[in-house]
Amino acid sequence: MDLSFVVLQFLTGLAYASSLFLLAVGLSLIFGALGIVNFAHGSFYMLGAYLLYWVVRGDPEGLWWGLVVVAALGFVIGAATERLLLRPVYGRPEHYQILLTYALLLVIEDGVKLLFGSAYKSLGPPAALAYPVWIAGAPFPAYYFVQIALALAVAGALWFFLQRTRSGALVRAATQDREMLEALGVNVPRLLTVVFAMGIALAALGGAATLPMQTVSPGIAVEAVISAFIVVVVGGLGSVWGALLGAFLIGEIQAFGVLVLPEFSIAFVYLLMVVVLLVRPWGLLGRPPAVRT
Amino acid sequence: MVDVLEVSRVRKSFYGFVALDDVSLRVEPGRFHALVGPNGAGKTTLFNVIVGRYRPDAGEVRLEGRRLTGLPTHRVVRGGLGISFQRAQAFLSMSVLENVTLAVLAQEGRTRAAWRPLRDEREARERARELLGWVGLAERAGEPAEALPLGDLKRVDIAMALAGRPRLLLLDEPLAGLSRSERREMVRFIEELLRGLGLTLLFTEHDTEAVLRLADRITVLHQGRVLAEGAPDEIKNDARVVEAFLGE
Amino acid sequence: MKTNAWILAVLALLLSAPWWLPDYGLEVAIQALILALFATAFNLVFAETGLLSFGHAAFFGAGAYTVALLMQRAGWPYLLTLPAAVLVAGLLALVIGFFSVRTSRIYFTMLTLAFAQLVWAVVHKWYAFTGGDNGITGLHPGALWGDARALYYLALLLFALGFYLVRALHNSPFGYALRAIRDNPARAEAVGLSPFGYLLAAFTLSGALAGAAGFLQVAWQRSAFPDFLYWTKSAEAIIAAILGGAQALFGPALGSLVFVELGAFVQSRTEYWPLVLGLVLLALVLFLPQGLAGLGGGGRARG
Repeated sequence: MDLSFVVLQFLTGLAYASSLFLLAVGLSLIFGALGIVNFAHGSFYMLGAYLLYWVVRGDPEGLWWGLVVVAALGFVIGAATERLLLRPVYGRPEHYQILLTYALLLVIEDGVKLLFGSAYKSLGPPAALAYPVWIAGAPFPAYYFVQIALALAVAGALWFFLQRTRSGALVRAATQDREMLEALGVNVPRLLTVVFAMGIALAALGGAATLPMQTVSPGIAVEAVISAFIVVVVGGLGSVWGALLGAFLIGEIQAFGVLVLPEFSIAFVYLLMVVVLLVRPWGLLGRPPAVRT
Repeated sequence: MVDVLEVSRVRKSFYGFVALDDVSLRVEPGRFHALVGPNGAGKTTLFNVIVGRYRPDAGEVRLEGRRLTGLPTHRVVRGGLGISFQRAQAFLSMSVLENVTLAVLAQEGRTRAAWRPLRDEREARERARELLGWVGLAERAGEPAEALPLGDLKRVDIAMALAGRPRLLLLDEPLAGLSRSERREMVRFIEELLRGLGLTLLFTEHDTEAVLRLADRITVLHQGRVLAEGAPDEIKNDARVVEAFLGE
Repeated sequence: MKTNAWILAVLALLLSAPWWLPDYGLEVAIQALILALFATAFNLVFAETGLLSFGHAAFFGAGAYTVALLMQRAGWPYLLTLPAAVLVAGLLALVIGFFSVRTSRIYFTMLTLAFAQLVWAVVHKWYAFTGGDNGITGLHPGALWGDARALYYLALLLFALGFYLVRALHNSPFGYALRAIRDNPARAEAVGLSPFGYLLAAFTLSGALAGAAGFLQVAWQRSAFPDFLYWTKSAEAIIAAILGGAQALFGPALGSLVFVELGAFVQSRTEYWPLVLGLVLLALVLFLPQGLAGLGGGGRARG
């Protein structure tokens, strides 16, 4: 195996990791701040792809502004979902939230089928990127670099937002101690709505960003949410860097695993999830729960 | 005369923070022994070490000479120690009688039976009624535990702790959450019941008035160490103790 | 008195069903019974211990594949595969439970999900042994069990046995111990109960029963597919249990009946069954937290 081949595989893994990151980071945020396991997360990811398809009306050149529009739509839809459906069930035992988000999964999946039909949809990249980059004698789609760049940009922006802005500090605080925030007079319900909306916007953006390279169909939601869970569990529930690390690991394991053990590379990923949950349940970069003496 | 409980030179730290440092304690038969100290002094940590929730880094815990150190809680309880945790009162999905019946069965190691209803465990139910009678809750046996006020729940809790005919009863903040009058009621109740049964008691408590009334002997913890130990009058007038409490 | 009359009426209806139900109705009834057994098995863990397992499909599928493999590879007669299915599913539950019941709440759910997906991933690709994603097809349970009426009674019998077992457990000291551990783990330990053994036993039994449901599925569907192991199968049991009311002993069965009937009804009119189901669930969560059993004011039957 020569170096350039390894590089190709590595880049392929990165591309996959990029879409995983965008899919999973929102889930992590939502779990961190709201404590909700969002089974519908993959559905919003899928919805994002469909929305992009619809917004650009089949014109790949519309990708750039389309992504922006989809992110905005995702934000609005997320906010509405939280406000109307999730807020009434706060304080109830966890399984209600799971049931509710699973119900959402069903509604969105079928709703999309109703609105768009069940045929696969695809878009293709903008003309400027519709050419392959040759690495190791194999074509590597130029668009993948856009995805990688987008993931990194989002990670950077999130980091900046969370660490360097006041609102971001509030979001971080929400993942640690919601009661304290209330005591400080922060409008916590609205903060939670915003965080949820952000998480959904990120998922939608992630889904939309894959459309130029990947066909979308109603069935991808069910798989996507599991992939998101894996990333978040491995990387750390509630951690943005964890989502990045987790996505990276899963992406590369898939990319190289396919060469070594083609049939069981997915099984290997689940095995990793099991091991992490057994040995370090809060994930590689997550925070262990506080020790109470 | 063997001490009912002997705690020797127990040490416990968490991630470098020393919660208990060389703590020793002896509870003599029939005594009501109080463990007091400001918040963070280590009372609950010591309590948890004794009952087996934490394993001490060093030191021993013995009940009538038998080693308890390192045993998990469910084994400690079957070895003659009755426990009531501070916030852990009763099983709210069951009736009062079912709560105590379960405690009785658990002590006898008979909770693995899966083939006959709890209802049919006559002996255990009788014993449970007896225990409820001791704590004055016999008429409320059929009520759901979640309908009980806090004071009564604590009594159910004590009934459960007595299920195994313990040598020593361990109560963690038995008065927490009660109003002033309820506290006085509870103190009287504990005194009458346990003196009547001839039980030995080790309890942690914040309420100084109650401690002074109830205890024969007091151990004061401060910052993980034993600051003072003695009869209530001695402790009340001990300058170091007063200072430690004022400083909190 | 009044309850007994109801029970007798329902029993009479159930026992005579093959005679008054149309053929299609009988097929639906069998499906409902299979799901009822599966959901009741799942609910044994969920209601008694409070732990939400998202991996019960693994036990359902393990039972089904055991049946399928024994029939296809070793020529076993259908009925004989039942003890094997229950045993294999139970063993798998023992292993997975051994690692999982030490954890709690969201970690437990994630771990059971991960284990089940792991099993799915292996089965789904292991063409040599399990047929991979083609599954194992063309199975015939024999002349007797291939008849819908006989299968119906078999399913009814197994469901009744499973239900009776769960009910007996619920009322026994063991059941109370489980609920004590659920209500207040610290207090449970303080009366002398060690949670691990109890939780593991409940989980294992639950898995074994789920395997029995898988056994039935193979007769009805005449095949075994990796889908039986996918997490959406686990979700079916969870929905049925919560829909019917997890706190009632008959809740999962009721929920299964409604789920399957509603599904059959909707699917005959429109292809958008998931949409309808999703909306029903949303309404349920928002307006009927106790599930359907809560409508009748039915608490956990202290029967």
